[in-house]
Amino acid sequence: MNDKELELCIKNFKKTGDNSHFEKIYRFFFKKIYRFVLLNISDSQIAESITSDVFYNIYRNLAKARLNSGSFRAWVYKIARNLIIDYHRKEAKFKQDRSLEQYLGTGQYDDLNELESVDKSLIAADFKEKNTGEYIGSEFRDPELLAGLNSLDEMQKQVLILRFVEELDYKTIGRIIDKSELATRAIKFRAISKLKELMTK
Amino acid sequence: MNEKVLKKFLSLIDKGMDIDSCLSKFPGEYQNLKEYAETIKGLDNLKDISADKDFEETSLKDIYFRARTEDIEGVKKIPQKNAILAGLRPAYLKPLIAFFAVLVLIGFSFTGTLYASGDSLPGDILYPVKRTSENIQVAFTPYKYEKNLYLNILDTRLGEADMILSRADFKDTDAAESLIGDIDDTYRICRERKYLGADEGEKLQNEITAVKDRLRNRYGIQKHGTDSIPNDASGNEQNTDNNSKNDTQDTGQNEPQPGGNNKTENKNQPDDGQQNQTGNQNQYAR
Repeated sequence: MNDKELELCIKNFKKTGDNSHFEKIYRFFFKKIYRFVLLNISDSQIAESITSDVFYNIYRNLAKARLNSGSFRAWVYKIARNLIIDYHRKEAKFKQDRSLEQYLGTGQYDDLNELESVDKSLIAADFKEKNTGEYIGSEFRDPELLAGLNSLDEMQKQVLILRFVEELDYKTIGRIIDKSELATRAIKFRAISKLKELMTK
Repeated sequence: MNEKVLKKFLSLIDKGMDIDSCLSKFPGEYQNLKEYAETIKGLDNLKDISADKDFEETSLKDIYFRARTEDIEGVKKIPQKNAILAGLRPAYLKPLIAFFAVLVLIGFSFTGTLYASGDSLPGDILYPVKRTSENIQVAFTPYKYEKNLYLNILDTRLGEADMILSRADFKDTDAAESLIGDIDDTYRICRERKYLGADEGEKLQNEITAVKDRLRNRYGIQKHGTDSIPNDASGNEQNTDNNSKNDTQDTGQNEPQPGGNNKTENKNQPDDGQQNQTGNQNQYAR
């Protein structure tokens, strides 16, 4: 689907509310958004749930949004990014609560430093479990790259995915991550350098 | 490794060049860049990740189901809420609002200027505005109402003359002279179109003559042969009117009345301008 077709679909959906126009948009973006979410979440079931939420949000708000094809792409990925951030926040809180329960339940930790170490060990275990690359499916067989990607900070990881996997331009990526085009280029440069270091270690 | 080379290498990839072709452009840095190229190729391979087809279908149905249950049909009604605005595209709405705002602003400022020009005198900055608005009124007034309009204009001119005479600081001789001309012109129109009755005509003619004389005396303005008033108070002017009845009446009326009741004499009192102005407006306005 090119930009003109995409704009036409958005316009027609806003005008008529006909689901067939939304369906075209959905089919065009579904694989991309699922891939983006999966690479950020590293859990296929949660990625499916978040992807579904992304499109539900699009369906709910498309009639009100004033968008052209360029800003629509950024908007779609931004919804996905926000839901990913929400998920990470909830997960971090859940892990903190779980470690606190363990600490209070067993009584074997003497201070908060030990509590922090429990946090880290739980996160590390989870990370190891997910970084095998198996969760993504049989199509992807490069666990090292995935491990390296997951070692980057969230922003660097997202910029690399959006640039090299989703093939978005820097302007659109900048809109998604709320950075300027120049800053986005700088993040990409640092991210690719770091990823290469991690891969060659 | 040289950072500049890496940036150049990455910018070539950004431009859409094939990774292997990019590598061949930097033979000296081939080994270092190859590792970057491998990383980028690895990222490129991630494009193969795809979702389960069944899930894609289920998810779409789920979205519609959630939309129905949460009454998202209301989303479609949103534009109908503002039916007037819904017809206008948002892109057109902003300039349209700006245009009307400017129009309202111009309208207000024009009305304000017009109002302020109401009390202006010949020679004032706003006087041309006042005259222009009168001309516009004349142009757009239907024929049967023109009589009242011209008499009002004549009243206004006479009022202006009274105001000028009541002000000791008014020194603009040219403005006074042009006012005399304007009074003459307006009076001529009223007379030619027979807007004035016999009695009114006499009174008005006397008053105009007196006002003109006072203006001429004060500002040392010479009389012109084109003066439209048939006879002035002293009976020196040329009669340009063919109406012999008026002429006869004029001659009779212009004689000074005993007891100081003559309007010409009253007009000659220099500090009575305001009173006279009010009198004029009430007397001749229809």
